[in-house]
Amino acid sequence: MKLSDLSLPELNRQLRQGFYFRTGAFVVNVKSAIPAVANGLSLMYADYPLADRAFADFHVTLTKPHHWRRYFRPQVFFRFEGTSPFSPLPLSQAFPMLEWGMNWCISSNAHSYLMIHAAVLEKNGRAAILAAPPGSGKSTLCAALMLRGWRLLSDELTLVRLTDGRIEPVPRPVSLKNASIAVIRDFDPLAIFSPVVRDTVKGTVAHLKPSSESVQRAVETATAAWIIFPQYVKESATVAVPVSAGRAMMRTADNSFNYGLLGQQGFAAMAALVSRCNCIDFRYSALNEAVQYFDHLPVPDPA
Amino acid sequence: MKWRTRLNSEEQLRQMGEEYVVYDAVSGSTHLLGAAAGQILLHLEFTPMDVHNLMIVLGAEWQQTPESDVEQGIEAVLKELQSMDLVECA
Repeated sequence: MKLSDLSLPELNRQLRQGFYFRTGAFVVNVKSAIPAVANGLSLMYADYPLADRAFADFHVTLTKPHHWRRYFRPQVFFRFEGTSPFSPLPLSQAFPMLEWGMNWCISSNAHSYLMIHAAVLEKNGRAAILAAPPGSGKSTLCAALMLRGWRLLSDELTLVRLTDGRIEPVPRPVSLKNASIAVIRDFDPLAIFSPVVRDTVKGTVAHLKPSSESVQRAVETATAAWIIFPQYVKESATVAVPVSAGRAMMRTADNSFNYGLLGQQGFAAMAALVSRCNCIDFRYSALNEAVQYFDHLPVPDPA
Repeated sequence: MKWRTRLNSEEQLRQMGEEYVVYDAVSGSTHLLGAAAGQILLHLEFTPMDVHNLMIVLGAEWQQTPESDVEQGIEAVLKELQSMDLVECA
């Protein structure tokens, strides 16, 4: 059974008690009576499978305050396992807060993976990791690739299994900010977005619904073949420059959530990952050209 | 004066193309090393050596005849590795 099988009133009813659904390797239990949470889930997570109420990896709650703030400048609180890891946000940001909170749950807890702050997509069995700091056009490129047939594994969290180095999918809505929202709307007018939310700490944000294929194949792991360091540069030609494996490893480690925490195990996993990938600095401005480049990425030689 | 590595496992040093990456388990730091520094570290993993012997070993590997400026170059690399706490005097 998937989320779209539930009517909105039924989803709202389940959310009040705790709504269990699966996002790739993780089961999340969301509890909330906030209508924007139900609306956001209904729109963005329609294809996601529901999960048994017996177990969840993460139990999260989004609530309105009980005091006067409920009426004057209303806010939303995010709670995880009974703790409040973040300051409250304006109520209009309830759905983005759920997204950011779920990312935080994974990045703070899923240490059976080497976790890299990077988007990752797969085509023909090979995954491309897009590692870059915020503002470099990573999510925009990720969205464009997904809309042109690449399977989304994640737009934020590349999870490398420590046991075998394979990439674990955790496909979730793609977070787009500011100008990139209009860029992707123009790129694919049929793309489905969550309502635009303004004045967040990240500026104006909207989430893009993951492709149905990405959600349906969320249990299929992938082998990494490329580590790409994308950078959007206005009016730039599409330029790809190889990066040495050593330098790529240092940069990817800098983009990792738990490389330091994993110690030698993290070093071994990162070295193995980088060794089997072609590593590329990628500058772009035209999305169609960028997608075309990705569709013809040279396959790495077997190690 | 002999030098030895402070690494306690070969798993902490990996060759990547012409470069090396090394993990320092004590500090938790990862360093990117050039070819010369990586190879010096690799040799010191097995046997503590003085600069002269290192030059002979590396000279054979690189098919170069030993020269005095090479010895100075090795010394400079060792000092750099020492500043990263990757080698010490034996």
